[in-house]
Amino acid sequence: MLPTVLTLPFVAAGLVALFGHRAGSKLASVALAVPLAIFAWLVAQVGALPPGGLVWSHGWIEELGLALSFRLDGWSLLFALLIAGIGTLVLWYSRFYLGPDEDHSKFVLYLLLFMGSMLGVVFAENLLVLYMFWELTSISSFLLIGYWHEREASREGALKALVITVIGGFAMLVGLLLLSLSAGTLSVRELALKASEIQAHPFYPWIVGLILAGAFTKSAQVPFHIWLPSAMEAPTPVSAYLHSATMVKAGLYLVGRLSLVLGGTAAWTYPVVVVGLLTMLVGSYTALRQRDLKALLAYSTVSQLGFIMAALGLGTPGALGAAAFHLFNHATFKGALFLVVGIVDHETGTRDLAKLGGLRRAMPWSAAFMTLSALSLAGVPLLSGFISKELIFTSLVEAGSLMGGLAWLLPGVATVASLLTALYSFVLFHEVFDGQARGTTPRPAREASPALLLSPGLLTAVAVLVGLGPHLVTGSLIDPAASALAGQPVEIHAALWHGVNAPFLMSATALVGALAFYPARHRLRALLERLTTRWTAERAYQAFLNGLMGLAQRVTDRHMTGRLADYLLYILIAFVVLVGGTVLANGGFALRPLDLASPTVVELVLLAAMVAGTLFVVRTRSGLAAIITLGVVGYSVVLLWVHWQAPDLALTQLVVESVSVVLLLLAFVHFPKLERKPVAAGRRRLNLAVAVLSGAMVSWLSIRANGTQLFEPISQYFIENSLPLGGGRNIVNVILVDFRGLDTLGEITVLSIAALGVYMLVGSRIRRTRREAAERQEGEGL
Amino acid sequence: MELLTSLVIGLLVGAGVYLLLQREVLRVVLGTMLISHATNLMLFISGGVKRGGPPIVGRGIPTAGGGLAYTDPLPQALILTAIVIGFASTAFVLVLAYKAIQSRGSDDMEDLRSVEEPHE
Amino acid sequence: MDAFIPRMIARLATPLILALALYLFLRGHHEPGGGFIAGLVAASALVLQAVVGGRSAGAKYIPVPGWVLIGLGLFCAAGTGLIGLVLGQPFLTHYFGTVLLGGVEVELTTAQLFDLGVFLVVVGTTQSVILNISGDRGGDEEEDDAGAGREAPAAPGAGEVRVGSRPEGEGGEPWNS
Repeated sequence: MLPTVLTLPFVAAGLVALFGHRAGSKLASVALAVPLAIFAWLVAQVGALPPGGLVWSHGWIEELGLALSFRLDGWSLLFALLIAGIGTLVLWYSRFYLGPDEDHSKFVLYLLLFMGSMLGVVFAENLLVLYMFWELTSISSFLLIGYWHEREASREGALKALVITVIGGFAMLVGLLLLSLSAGTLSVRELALKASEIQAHPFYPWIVGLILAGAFTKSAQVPFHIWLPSAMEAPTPVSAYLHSATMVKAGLYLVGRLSLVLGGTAAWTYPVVVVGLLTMLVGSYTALRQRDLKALLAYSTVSQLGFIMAALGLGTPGALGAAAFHLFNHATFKGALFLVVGIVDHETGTRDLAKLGGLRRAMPWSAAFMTLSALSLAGVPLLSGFISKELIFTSLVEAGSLMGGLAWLLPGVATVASLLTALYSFVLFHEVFDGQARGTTPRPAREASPALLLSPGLLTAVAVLVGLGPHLVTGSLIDPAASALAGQPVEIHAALWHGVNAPFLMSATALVGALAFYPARHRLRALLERLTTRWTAERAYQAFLNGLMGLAQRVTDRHMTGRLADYLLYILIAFVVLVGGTVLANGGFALRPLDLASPTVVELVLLAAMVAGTLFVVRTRSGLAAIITLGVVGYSVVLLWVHWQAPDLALTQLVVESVSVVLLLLAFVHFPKLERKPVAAGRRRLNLAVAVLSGAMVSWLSIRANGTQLFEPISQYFIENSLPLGGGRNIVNVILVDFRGLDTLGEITVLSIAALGVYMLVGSRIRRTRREAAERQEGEGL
Repeated sequence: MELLTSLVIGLLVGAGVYLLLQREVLRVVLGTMLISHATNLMLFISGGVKRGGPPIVGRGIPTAGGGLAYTDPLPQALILTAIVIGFASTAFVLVLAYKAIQSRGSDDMEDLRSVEEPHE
Repeated sequence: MDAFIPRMIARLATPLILALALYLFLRGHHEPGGGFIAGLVAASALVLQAVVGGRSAGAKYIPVPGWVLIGLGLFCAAGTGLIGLVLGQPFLTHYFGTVLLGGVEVELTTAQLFDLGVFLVVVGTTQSVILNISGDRGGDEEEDDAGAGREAPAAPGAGEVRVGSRPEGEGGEPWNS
């Protein structure tokens, strides 16, 4: 069943690509069936998964030990439900969000591709399979961000997201390969059994660093977070789906997935927790500075991703459970927030906080959804965000208690960040919906259609219901997810009231502080503006990109001269240096005794003829003489074959030589006069030096080859078996057509390709001549 | 013998490379042909020149041990294909050069740089 | 160059060369010869025709376009390989045996069939090159393109360029030698 579920979105995408344009804007309602069906199947799996999960495996590239294997366990199921569930809602929403004139089939196609890829990421049991789908999500994200490709900002945002996530992905691939080298497998399950072995391996720090680089770039952790705000150029449903609810959580998925394998050490915990909390802090205060609602939500997402990342880094069962719970909650309330912002944008024509205000009367439903979801984000009690945030705080306090004098550090940072989070959450609904209606929006505000409100409404409902009754999801969904990560049964204690303890005090501080600061938020914002440093990650990215382009340009300009001779020189110099250097380094220039055949008179004469002929070919200024002399050299080779008792070679070379000379003469008729064109003196010396060195190198290799025998020649086998096995007495021919028949098949294929090349060279001329003939006829007709 | 042949091979390669680096198309073609001769010879002698009869079962030269000595058939098979491939590539380069000269009216590699289909 | 004697020689020599090619091909399994050599020898007959009679004579000499020969050859060689596959052996496994045909023992080998493929490819490739080099200026290049002749029949003799005569438009003195 797993492969069916996985291929369904791809098959649907294929159908959409073929027939989608006929359906117009109704396409999304039809395509909805795909995520809905997957969602229904996934819901049926809740509570029904066997221990260890559903497994499906199929040999793929067995030589590499690579199996196409998938597994659905608690952690995967949590993600898959979000992917399919929010995917359904987003498809529905986008059908009404996109205008009737926009390209719906392209949108649905990309969205389905993304959905399939993302499901692949969370289903993959083998890490290389995971990597493959991981990069596919980057590509579909690129396509979706660039959906409005006629906008410059869309293209830039798409490129930035792709560059950063793919560089991270590449680092991750290297990390995975090192992991494979140190453990001998890439199956997550087998890796978990070898955790201690891996952690003792000298590669371990590299593995952690490289894989975390992949996870951090994907999940927009500082300093790689800059791509996420730029990705907001995508249509809002995409932002809600990819860049808030699902794709950006792939990094979290991976960190969680590997915490059993790589976690539990300082080398893992410190980077993840520190980067996570730093991201949370940077994200929340940057969010506060934003005037564009989507940008605000983007930084808010960055911040929340950091929060969850930190919890995952702690790695205790409680922290993993808290992280899984908060991840679920964030996906729902943040998805709702994005969709409502999309509605506001859709109905008023702006997302600028300066122009919005007092919309509650005109848009009561949107206002209600936005308010509830934002309060959940702020961590107000009775809403889902509060409960999971409390749980993470608990884990942070526990972790802090192990740090002695610095016990306050982790909870402190988290509290400050939460305060800022609550602050901008209040901004979200208060500045948009309350206060005076300013009437400054491009379009007069009115409530969206119920169809458009459905998706954010459902997501908000989840946030409220989970807030009131966390047991709705914790036992069936969150606990299995956390258990899959921890490798042991985990039960999180989600409750509305834990009594007055440290986490409660942290929450209260954040909320009360936010309320206290709220009236002063504009001054706070101004202060933050001034704090902005000159060297932001954004500038670093631009400098990196410009530097890379400039460097590539300079390197290309310098060596891509368009002269074949130059390229040949590079190759030959590399040949001389690399081969010569290797030989030199390995003491290969030492002479070894050779088993030489003594030369005969005939051989001496023929070699002398070749030497003389070659020198003449190089020196002569007459093309005709050069061709004929080359023939002499060739015939000397023929005679050598005769002398060396190689009749087949002699015959072949004889015919080839004759035909070549004739062909050369035929072509020569058309050649201009062969006169030596001037070559700069320095260049001539370089050419000469390279030629002499290449020749010397080949001579030396030839001599060395003679003195080396690593194993018994296999020729005797051919001699003995030619007649019994090949049924022929001509051993050379039997080798060609029988023993090494596949080589010969390859070789005649090469011949065919050369002939094809000739046809292509001539073909363009045939068409041209025909066209000319046709034009001539037309001209005559007139 | 192998030593002498190796030196000649080096000369062939050196001369071939030198011709390849020239500006006239014909010289480039001739250079490739010299290099292909050198390669074939090198293949042949790399296993040592063995004295014996042609590699046709029954035509070997009787040895003291009572068997028949043949020249090595394996390099011969390899060279046979190499000769034909070398011929095909020479022929291809020749047609290429011929077409280039026809369209450009020059045999100078400098003039054939970054050739674009002339707009008609 | 339009001389009588070269034409006669070419006319006489061509069947001999072809017979030689056939001979070399057939004996290739046991004696020096085989598909490569035979193909090249057959192609050399084509060279002779093209040198003496120009491109059109060459094209007449082998009426089948080069690419058809190449295709046939590849098909032949690869198809021979499939025999082994069908019989459950690795690709390109060869079989041989003798049958009595009218009292004469005739040896049949699949290797010979493979060699035929090699032969065809070599002939086809060489033919493609030669016909494209030997004076193809003018309108007669459509000749090796089946059916093209019907659309745009070349004026008789219009594009025929004999080897040795310099084509027009390529001014300059003869090569220095």
